[in-house]
Amino acid sequence: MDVALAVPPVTRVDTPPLLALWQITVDFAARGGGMVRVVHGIDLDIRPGETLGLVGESGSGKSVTCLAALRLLPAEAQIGGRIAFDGADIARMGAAQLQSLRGGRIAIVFQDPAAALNPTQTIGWQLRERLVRHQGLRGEALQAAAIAALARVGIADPAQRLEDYPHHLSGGMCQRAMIAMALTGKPSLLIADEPTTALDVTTQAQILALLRDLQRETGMAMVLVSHDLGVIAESCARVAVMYAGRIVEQGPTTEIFATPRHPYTRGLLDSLPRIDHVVARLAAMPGALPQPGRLPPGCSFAPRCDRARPACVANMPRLEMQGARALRCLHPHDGPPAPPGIVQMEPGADQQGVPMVEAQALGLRYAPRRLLGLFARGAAVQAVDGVSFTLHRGETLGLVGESGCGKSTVARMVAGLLTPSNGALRFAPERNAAPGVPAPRFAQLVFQDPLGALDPRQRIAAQIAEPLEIHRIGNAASRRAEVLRLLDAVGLDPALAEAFPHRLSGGQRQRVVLARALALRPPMLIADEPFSALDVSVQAQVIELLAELQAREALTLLFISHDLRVVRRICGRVAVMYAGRIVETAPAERLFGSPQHPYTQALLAAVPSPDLGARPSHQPLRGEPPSPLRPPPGCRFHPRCAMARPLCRVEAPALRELFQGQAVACHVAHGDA
Amino acid sequence: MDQVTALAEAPPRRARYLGGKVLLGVAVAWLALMVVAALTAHMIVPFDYRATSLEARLLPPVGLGGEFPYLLGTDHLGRDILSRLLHSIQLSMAVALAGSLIGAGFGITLGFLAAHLRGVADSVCMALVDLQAAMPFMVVALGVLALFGNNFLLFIVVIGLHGWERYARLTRSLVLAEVEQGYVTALRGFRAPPLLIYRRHVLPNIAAALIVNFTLSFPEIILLESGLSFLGLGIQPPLTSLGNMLGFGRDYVADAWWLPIVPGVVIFITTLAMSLAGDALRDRLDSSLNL
Repeated sequence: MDVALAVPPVTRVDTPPLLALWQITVDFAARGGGMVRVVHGIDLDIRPGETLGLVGESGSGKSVTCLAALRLLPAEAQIGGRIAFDGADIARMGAAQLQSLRGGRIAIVFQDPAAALNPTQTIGWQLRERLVRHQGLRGEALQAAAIAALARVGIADPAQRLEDYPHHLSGGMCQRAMIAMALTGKPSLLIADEPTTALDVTTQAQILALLRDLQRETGMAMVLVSHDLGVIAESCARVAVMYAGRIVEQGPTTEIFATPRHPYTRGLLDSLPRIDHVVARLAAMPGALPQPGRLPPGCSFAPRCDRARPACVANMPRLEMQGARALRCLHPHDGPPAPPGIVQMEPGADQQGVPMVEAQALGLRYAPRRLLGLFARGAAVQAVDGVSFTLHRGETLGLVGESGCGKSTVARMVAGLLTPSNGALRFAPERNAAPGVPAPRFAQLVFQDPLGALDPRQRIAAQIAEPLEIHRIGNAASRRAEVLRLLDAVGLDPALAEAFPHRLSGGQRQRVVLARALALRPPMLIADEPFSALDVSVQAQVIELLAELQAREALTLLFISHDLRVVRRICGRVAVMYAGRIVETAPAERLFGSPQHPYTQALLAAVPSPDLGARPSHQPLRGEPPSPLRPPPGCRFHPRCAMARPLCRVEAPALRELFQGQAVACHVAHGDA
Repeated sequence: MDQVTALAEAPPRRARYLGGKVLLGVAVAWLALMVVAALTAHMIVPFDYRATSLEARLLPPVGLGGEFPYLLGTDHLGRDILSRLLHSIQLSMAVALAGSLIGAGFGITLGFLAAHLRGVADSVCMALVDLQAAMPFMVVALGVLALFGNNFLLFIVVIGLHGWERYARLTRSLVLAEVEQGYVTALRGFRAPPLLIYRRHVLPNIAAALIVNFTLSFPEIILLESGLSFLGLGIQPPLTSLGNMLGFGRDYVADAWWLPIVPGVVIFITTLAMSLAGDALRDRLDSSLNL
């Protein structure tokens, strides 16, 4: 496959490795005594200048392996094996030597930049501290180096930002600052542990592009840890897939993604919804990652594997080298995967039917806090501004946008949890028809965090039955029967009815939340980022469940997500929000096929794709969404828009229909400017 | 093991851990003894605690020159100290328990109200809390008892007012944090009545912290009761309590040191054991939440 590489080519195998891990094992003390092994003998070589991707679901041991390599694990953890950095044995290093290595020649960037920065000191203070340590600078040279370090990672006004505290900066800015600090030691190896997971998709694209540029500039090697196959495909030359503390497949990214041989690798790729097409059904792997300490005998993946034979259950296969690739499987796949069964998404909407929800110029304004009702402190925040849409019966409307764009606020207003300060919401007559049909029986909300959404001290059955109890539906026996029916409907073992939430996995919890939401048989569901806390393979299971439930129960669905891939799989129509306004709405097929608003285009381009043909060729969107305290005049997107005209700076464009069913709020798309 | 190097080893934590366990065991055993004593005092006392005997005044405990059957000696009226001690434990524990329950009930209710109503009601509740916290409680109690005279019920109510402000503040902050949880939002989505949300869901989830606060304030209440009784404003004769015994024993500390020392030691060990057990309980309840 001819690929325009945005990443350096695979380094030749004969160069000596920069970091070599040999048979790394990590054991943690288990509750109630004994040790639990979480990493089972990892062999990895990272060569100078190369980018290695470490991919796997949460709990697969990716981060622990990285931390073990730097001896950053707590003292209770026992690390076995040998780690050599540039020929030196890390196990034999003294504390001082190790200290100068970390943050010096090996630098780390973590997932949550806001937590990794010290909130009580300015960015400049923290950056200068490292410059003093690693480069021994003083006085004006120090200040100049600090400014240069921020400028190098693409922070505008670096001299000003040095005086800011971390909470003044956005997540993307904080991550840039973290990278700037990591680079102060002129590292030859950068370990980036989920560096973009907490960030929005356009910011993620910016950070990944920055890391690629810096790597090209400095020639450092990089280990990129991620659960996102798209991120890995776009950034790494070589990839290692981890499952349950072991590497199951390893090799050049192009080969692994073109012809994944391990059933788990293939399963991961098939579980991931794509942005460019919709498959009839995501091939979800059954089950979930086993708990460390409760690994099945033989191949850890065998219980979830459709190719498992008796031999797989009996023995753990060895990691066999085959040229540049390594594979731990007795019955691997051969050849490229079958082309996916692509389907045309039907809008699914009954366009002529009664609308379920009609929102007209919906707005929500948070008034400034007042002192004794007199003095306003701060400005009002217009979280949502003039949002209009119609949700038809049986339709799935996706509401997408980056964090802070107001999509969750809209969801809460539709659910009746917030009262709009402007505009009107009109519901289908059944919501208001009789006092006997109260709002909760019309629309139910499903949340992002399935653990917080369940009371930790109540049994599953009691929680699912509670809505029925509150509305005095049925008696104890009939409610019990209903609980069992609902558990069955969401694909849960009825034996779990008497379990407490902490015994359930993330996917199971989200199923319980779905079951509880369906208990009152509402005709409509509002799902607010329901899958973002789940791993890819579990996410695929729950997506399919939701799609199936929607079809079976003829649910109308308002689906809020920042993940365009999931939206593509599940939604018939999509509305894109930016800074409190809808900028484009269209049937999914149209929106993903020919987006008209520049923001929609940028958003779609920023989604990382595991398809190797779709390497990023464009520059990521610049800048960041505006603060809702000070939205720019005119079109709110104009400061970041490459196509902005003078008119865009003064006049806000209205959302008008451009083609059949596709409405855009853009002067340029409409040819006004 | 020549190639596999253990890079880090677990520190030897066993010894410290064991010592803590033994101490906790002793504390719990002492508390159990106190509970048994309090529950059965009227049945197991060797003598009537009010019975005086002028021939047997100020006898030291057995083993220190005293004689059987006055195990812990006698006081200035020749009353058996062991019998008086058992009755004192009974009364002091009962007063402390009643006081704790009153304080917890009042504070928790007010905390829930403040968290539920927010706004002005919240500010008023918290102002009351600050007001209470700013006044030395002993002085308030002295004032109330001096003004309204001494009456057993009033005394318990005054004791009960001690520490309510901590329950109120704790409850308010815990409730405010808990109602941000997704499950509370979900219940509101079902239009669950607030009382049901608070009683069935929020209260069980914050109970751990409240129980710990209870165990930590209980010894303070025992001390408060003792202090007030010591000053003569608490339990009045012929009833007896630990503080009351301590107060009357003060006059004889030079001639019959066991009079104040015996109740003093019981107060000391009981409050210490309660604090130790409360700490252990907090650790256990907190970690069980992070399963």
